[in-house]
Amino acid sequence: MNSANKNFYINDNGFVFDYVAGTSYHFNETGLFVFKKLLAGTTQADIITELESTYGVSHDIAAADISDFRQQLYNLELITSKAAKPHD
Amino acid sequence: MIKCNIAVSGLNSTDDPAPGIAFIRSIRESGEWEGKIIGLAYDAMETGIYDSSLLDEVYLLPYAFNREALLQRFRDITCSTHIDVVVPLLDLELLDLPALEPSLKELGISLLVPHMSRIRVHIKLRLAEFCQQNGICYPRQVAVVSPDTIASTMYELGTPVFIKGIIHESYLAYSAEEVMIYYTRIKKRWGLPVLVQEYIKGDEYNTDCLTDREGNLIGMVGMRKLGLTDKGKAWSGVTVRDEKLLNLSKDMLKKLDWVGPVEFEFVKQHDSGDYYLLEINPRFGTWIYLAAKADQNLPLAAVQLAMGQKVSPFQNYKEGVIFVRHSRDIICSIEHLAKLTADGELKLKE
Repeated sequence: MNSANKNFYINDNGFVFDYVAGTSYHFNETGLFVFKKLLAGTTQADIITELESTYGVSHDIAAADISDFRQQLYNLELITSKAAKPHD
Repeated sequence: MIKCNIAVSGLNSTDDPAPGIAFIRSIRESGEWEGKIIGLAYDAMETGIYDSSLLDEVYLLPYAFNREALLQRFRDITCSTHIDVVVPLLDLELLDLPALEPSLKELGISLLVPHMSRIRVHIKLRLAEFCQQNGICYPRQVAVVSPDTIASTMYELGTPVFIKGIIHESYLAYSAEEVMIYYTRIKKRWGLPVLVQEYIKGDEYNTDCLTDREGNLIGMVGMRKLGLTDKGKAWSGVTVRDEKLLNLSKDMLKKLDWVGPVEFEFVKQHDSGDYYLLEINPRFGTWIYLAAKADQNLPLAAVQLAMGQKVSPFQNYKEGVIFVRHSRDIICSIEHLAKLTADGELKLKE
């Protein structure tokens, strides 16, 4: 099943294609989960809460991993600076 | 349904392909055209000319670009067959055919080409000047006329470098020795000067565009190259929608006051994200079939415009459409080769 986003092609196997840059990526399950949430505008706090409940990770680990992941996405120009801010 | 006979050149599909085959497939598969596709070739071993699924007839043209000889050849061809539109798809042809447009019109043949002064901008020496005058990023380059200056040029530009003929052909060279080999090869084929150009690190993007006779934009498709041959030709690519890329191309079309098909080749520098113009090709790119399959059949629109028909601008195209090029063997009889080399013409569908 594919997710519709005007800038990306995303499928449930983790394949993500950037329609603007023409680049493609492979996300693991967690990365895909967080990426989709970021694209949908979900706040970091809510994403952390969902990660904690879905994957059973601690709050601190989830927060650190999301911050790092957002920075990587920003460096790859997959999200804007606003979406990359750790605190929202 | 458009009914017309279309003559197409650029029928080679080697590792340095021309757009003819892609153009023909776009027309044949449109479902909106009827007529004959007539191949124009300069060599009896051009790879696409024996494909009877694409071509109805083939005619050889004079190898040396002599306008009078070319015009006479068209007069001869029109005694054998009827041509409504000629679509030139080789860079060198675009230096002569526009001047013949009025004479070809007398033979009943229509062209869609820009004014000669605009075409000459694509010649790489003039391209740098055009970019400087219009604030377009362009790699530094040096016109080399003697091998003695190669070492100092490479010191100035760094390595690797692109080494290019002023009309066609380019290679990426990593050392002065490699530059020397390519310099000799290019000088033999295209003469001097040979251009040595700075290498810009980044991904390559192209746009295929079409304007009408008033210079209005009819269609444009953007593509990112995915796979390259060792000659730097795209062997696979994907359609993309980068507004920065498309707006830059639109801006260039206005500045060039362009008429007809054109392909812009860019590299997007990794660090800055700026698009550097590498080349302007005064014809469709070899990937034009991808544009047709992404819902902008620019070849068909170009034929309509050449015939004097009005064409509404395309509003959109599909992103994420991929092309991957592969080759297939065409089998034909020795009689085809004999006929073409002896008579200079071949009717494939007889």
